[in-house]
This record gives sequence, C-alpha cells and structure tokens, in this order.
Amino acid sequence: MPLSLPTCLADGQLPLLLLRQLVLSLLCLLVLAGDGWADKPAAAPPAMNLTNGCVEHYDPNVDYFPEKATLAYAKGFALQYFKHYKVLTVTMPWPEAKESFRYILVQCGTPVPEDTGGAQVIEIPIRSIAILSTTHLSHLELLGALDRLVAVSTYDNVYSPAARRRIDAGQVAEVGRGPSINLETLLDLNPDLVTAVGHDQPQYNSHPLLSNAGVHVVINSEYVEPNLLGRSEWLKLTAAFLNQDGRSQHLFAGMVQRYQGYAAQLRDLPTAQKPTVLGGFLQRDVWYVPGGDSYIAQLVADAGGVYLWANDAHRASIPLSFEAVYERAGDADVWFTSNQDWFKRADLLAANQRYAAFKAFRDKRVYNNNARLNDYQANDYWEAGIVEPDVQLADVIKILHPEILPDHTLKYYRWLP
Amino acid sequence: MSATLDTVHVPPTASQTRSDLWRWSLLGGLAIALVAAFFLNVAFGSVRIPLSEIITILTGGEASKPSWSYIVLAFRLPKALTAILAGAALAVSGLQMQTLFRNPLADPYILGINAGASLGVALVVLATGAATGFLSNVGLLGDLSLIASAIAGASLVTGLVIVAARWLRHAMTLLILGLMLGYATSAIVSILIYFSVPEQIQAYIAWTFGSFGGVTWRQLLILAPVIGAGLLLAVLLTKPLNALLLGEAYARSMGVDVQRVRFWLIAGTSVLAGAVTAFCGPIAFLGVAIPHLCRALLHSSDHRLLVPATLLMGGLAALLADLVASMPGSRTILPLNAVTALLGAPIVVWIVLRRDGPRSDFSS
Repeated sequence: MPLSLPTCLADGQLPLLLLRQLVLSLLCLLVLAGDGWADKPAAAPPAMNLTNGCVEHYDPNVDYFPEKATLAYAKGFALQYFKHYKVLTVTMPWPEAKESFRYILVQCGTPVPEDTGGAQVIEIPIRSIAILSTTHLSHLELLGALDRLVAVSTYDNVYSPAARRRIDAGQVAEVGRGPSINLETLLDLNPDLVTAVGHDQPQYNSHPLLSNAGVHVVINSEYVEPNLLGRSEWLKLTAAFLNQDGRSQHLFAGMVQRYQGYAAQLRDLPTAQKPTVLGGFLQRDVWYVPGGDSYIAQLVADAGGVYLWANDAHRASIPLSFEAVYERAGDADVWFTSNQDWFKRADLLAANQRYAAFKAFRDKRVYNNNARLNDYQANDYWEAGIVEPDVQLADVIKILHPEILPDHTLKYYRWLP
Repeated sequence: MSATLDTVHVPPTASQTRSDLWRWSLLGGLAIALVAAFFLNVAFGSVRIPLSEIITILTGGEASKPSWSYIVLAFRLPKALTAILAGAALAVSGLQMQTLFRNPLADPYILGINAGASLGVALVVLATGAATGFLSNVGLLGDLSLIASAIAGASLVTGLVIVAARWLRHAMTLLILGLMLGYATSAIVSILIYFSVPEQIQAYIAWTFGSFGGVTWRQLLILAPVIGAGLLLAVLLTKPLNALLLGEAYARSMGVDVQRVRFWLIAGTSVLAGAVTAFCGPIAFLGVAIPHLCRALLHSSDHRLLVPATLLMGGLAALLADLVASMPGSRTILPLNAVTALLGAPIVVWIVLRRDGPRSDFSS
C-alpha cells in the first residue's frame, strides 16, 4: 500500500495547506475506501456532468447529472433525469408515428436500473459515435465532439471542413444507411452509439437492422418538428449522450434569443407590407409545396412574409396540381425553392419552361437553399443550418425585407440571377 | 353462377348482319366522343373556371383573370393534345404487337422499350453521384434530362431488337429476346433503387406514375410529328397486318415480305411507344386493353377498321383517364397509371366478356 493516513496529513506548507489538505484527504479516503477497511464516505456531489470516463465509486445518493437540459420547443422527444441515469423517449421517431422509443442512458460506472421495461440501455458518456444523417454532424461539431465520430452514412454528404479532414485522414468510415447499410463495417467499428433517422416508410429505416445486430442505435429525427427552433433543439438529444446537457442548454438558449430578437422586429408589420411567398418545385406536373405546418411556413411568417399555403395543415410537402399552384401563387412576390442543381434562373427554365409564367421568376426573386455547397455537392443547409436557426431567419428577413437587416449577407440562401 | 352467365346475351350471328353500318357509326361515335372528351378535359381541372370563360379563352378573348388564360392555353390544351397523341400511339402500337406476335397479352412495351426507358431515367435520377458534373448543367430532375435519358434508354433496347428483327426468322425468338432484355434492364433499375436514398426513389417513382401534364407546347412540337409519323406508318401497314393474322407462313405465301414488315412494325412501335414513354412516362394498360376493347366492340379483326378504331379509342380513353386523374374541384391530382388501370380494367372486362362470350378465349 503506497500511502497511509499519517503521511497523507503530514505534508504541506502554510499558504497551500487548506487546498492541499482537501485534495490529499480525498485521495486518502478513496484509498481507504478501496481497501475496504472503512465505511464508504459520502463523496462530494460533482459540480458538472462527467464528459469523459466513468464514475469510479458509485454512490446511490449522488446526482451524477447536476447539469440538466429542459426542452422548450421540441415536441418529438423527452428527457427525464434520475440520479445516475437519464430516460430519453423519442415520441415522434417519424411523422405521425404510432410507436415511441425509450432509451436508458446510464452513467458509466453506475449500475443499470433494475426495471428497464425493455428499453435499450446505453452507457454514457459515449466515446465513439456513427451518424447516419449529416444533420447530426452539426451537433457533434457544435459540442466539440467531432473527435468521437467514427462513421458517417455517405462521405459525399459531409460539408463540415473539420469532419472532412477526419475523413481524409482515414478516421471515419462510410457505412450507408437504410436497407443497404454496411452492417459488417459497423459491427467491426463497434461504436458506442449510432444515430439514425426515423422514416415513416419502414423499408427505409436503419434502426431495426442495427438493433437486431446488437448495435446501440438511437433515433434522432429533428425533421419531424414544425419549426426551426424545434429542429435545432434536438441538439440536446445528442448532447445527453455526451453528458453535455448544460452546454447544449446554453447553446440553444443563445439560438432562441437571437432568433426571437430578429422575429421581434417583424412582429408588428402590417399585412399589406408583407410579401407573398411561394415554395417548392415542380416534378413533372406535380408541384410539391411545403405544407402550412412546415418549418418553411413558420420561417416565412416569422420573417414578415405571407406564405400562400399558411392555412394548410400539413407538415410535409403537399403534392398539388400545376393549375392549383399557378392560380394561387402565379403572382407571389418571392419564391423559395430547394433544388441542389439550380444556380441561375436559366437552370429552372431548362427543367421546366412553365416556371417563366410566375411573377417571382420574372421579377428575379427566386431563392434557393444551396448557397453553401462543397466540392462533393454536400449542402451545409442540412448540416450547420440545423443549428443556426437564427441565421436562417436572418437570411429570409434579408430577402423579404432587406432594409431591416442592412448588414446581413445571405449565408444559406442563394439568389438566382 | 349459371344464372348470371345465362343472362349474358351473346348474339349468335348478329355481328355479321350488323356489318358495316354498325362499324362506321361506331367509328363516327368514337370521333364525336373524342372531341367531346377533349373539351371536357380543357374545361375541367383543379381550378374551377366558368364554362363561359373557357369559351372566351378558346376563342381568343380575354379571360376575367389572366391566370385562367394561362392555365387553359399553356397547361390544359397541351395536356389534352398530349393525352390524345399518347393514347392513340399506345393503343395502335399495342394492336400491332398483338397481331405481330399473335399474343393477346402483347403490348407496346413487350420488346423492352419501357424497361430501356426506365433504365435511362433511373440512371439519371438514382445514380446522381456518378453523373452530377454533366447533369448540373441540365437541371438534375429537369424534364428535359428525363426525356433525353428515356429516349437514350429506349433507343438502346429497341435498337438491339430491331437489329435482331432483321436477322431472326421467328417472331417468337424476338419476343423472348425482348422479354429478356426487359428483365435485364429491370434488374439494373432494382439495383439502382436499392442503393438510393428515399428522395431519389421518390423522384423516380414520380416518373413511373406517368402524366400528360408535363408536356409543354415546345415539347409538343417534337412529340406530335413523331407520333404522327408512327401512326401514318401503322395505317400503311394495315394490309400486311391482316395477312399476318393468318400466320407468318400463310402471309409469306401471299407474297408478303414478312421480315421486312416485321422490321417496320417494330420500328414504328418503337417510335410510338418510345416517344410516349419519354415525354409522359411509362403509361401502362392502354396499349394492351384498347385493342381488345375495339375488337370486342367491332367484332372484327380487320385492321383497316381496327387501326382507326384503336386510334380514336386510345385517345378517348387517355383523355378520360386524365380527366379523372386531375380530380376536378380538388387541388391535387392522382397518378395517371393508377387511374387508367383501376377504371379501365373493369370496363374492358365487362365489354370483352359480354361481346366475346364467357366460354371462348382469346387464343381461339
């Protein structure tokens, strides 16, 4: 035995005496407890969540998660905190889901709770993670946890330069997703966690295959939320696995504050001054228009615009006939579209000559969400855009009311000349 | 069971006596119905436009809402014309294939045209990663790139079949060749789908639904002459087609150059079905059903009657299917292929059973 009680207490000089005594005595107590010839002492409760490593000496009375996240906008999942484990319930794994998923996140070094009710048990903080959607990549980057990334679904979808450097260095595997996921590679990597997206068409889902194979997989489907802030808040889901609940709470509060700050400037705008907005694009003779309960509709409303399908109740895109769209939005002032391959209005005409009949097209007020594409055609809109709801709002305000944000330059939206 | 069968009235020899009068009046009736369906198609759609306004717009007047003029003139009119052309093309080429192969299940796609076009489109829509450089100039999901790729795929397959048609002696060999080409291309499409993300699959599936509404006036300038030429060829081939009804050997003995006729039939069908598939997607059902419908109604297998009848009936059926698919009054539309088969199948079954009698079959 290297240390004994007397030597522990003997050393030290006066100015540092107090501090050193505290440290040393704690050390000694640990040693004593380890030797088992004294009762377990009541450890001082941790001031922060443990973001690395495990609890060495479990105390059932200690709250291991002093930092907690509370949800304000997201409706698709819930987080409950217990002393040494968290319960994550994903209530909306996909739109209008009938089933929900429960996960028990147990602090590493503490026991698994007795009654898990069949929920998946995952030890946290996770040390390695595979993500099947780049929307989760932004979470890792924002939380400074990119070094734990071991696999992505498709290299070409990755925008983040930092993540690309890891790919180039051979530190990240490519595993695909859905039915064609490369299970062997994933099993070989054996990540602590895989984050997958839930899909309402079961054949596209990756999680059944993975959980059957014994891989820890959680569904992270921020897209089910009807507004950008709700989508951004799914950051807290990823953070819960990293024990960064406090940091995600703080980061998200900043997003909300900036977003609401922008929105407040438009709140009292009279309707007459609000430009009308059209969305989506034509696929043959069906126009897929974002529904009235979609995040696009909410974004346009917050930015002081009139979304022409605001009264619609759909969250997903609605397939409309060309006639119906032209009748309502032929005179719309601004058109927000989302086609990766459109850089100028001529590209739209090449796709469909009928676009020329729209006023927004003639007035050169067509905007596309592909301003940030890298050499691999990955779009940052689906990556960093997920955790920058405030910047997205500022973009749309700049487009609809340029005078309100004179200094803002468009980040995610591209004007099509 | 037997009671229901007994109630089906099968006229014993009426078809002979009814003869030409019935047939010509049927053709006339079809022509009138086609014109009527054309106007219905232009008058009704998702957006409710008063009939008086429709007439004003069609006669060159100003509508009370400018958007209505655009909807009628730039959307509904080309859509209705496309429906007529596509319906006629598929029905006539279906008839040609059924006669050529003496197979009641033959359709314009039997030689793999559809599969070839699907492969072309699937390569564009699904295998985006490999082709982004070239395609970003065209607009990835743009209709033009879809048309170009469908034409390329269809030409590849039909080119092979046409070359084979020059050399092969038996039509049956050709049929098998076409079927196998179809299977092979479908297999490649399956692999592409398997490795694609939902958004790409959605774009591909949207194409397979088929539609007439994507065709603009400028595209119609290409589509109309191509289909016109194909239909003209079909009219010119009616006599040898009638000879083929008696079998290839018999046709040969009548002095028909079977290989040559076969070549032109396949070339014509490739042009007709290929053009329709390229511009409207793979429109199913019409090609196989309309010829049977016309044979049953006319009680004749004379192609001098059948070709104009299938032409008119094909156009009429396509117009009606499109009218139903556009669901007048609602703001959305139904997939065309679902409508043609769902509404068409029971009608065809009813007419064919009634006319042909429940106990006879097609191969007799």
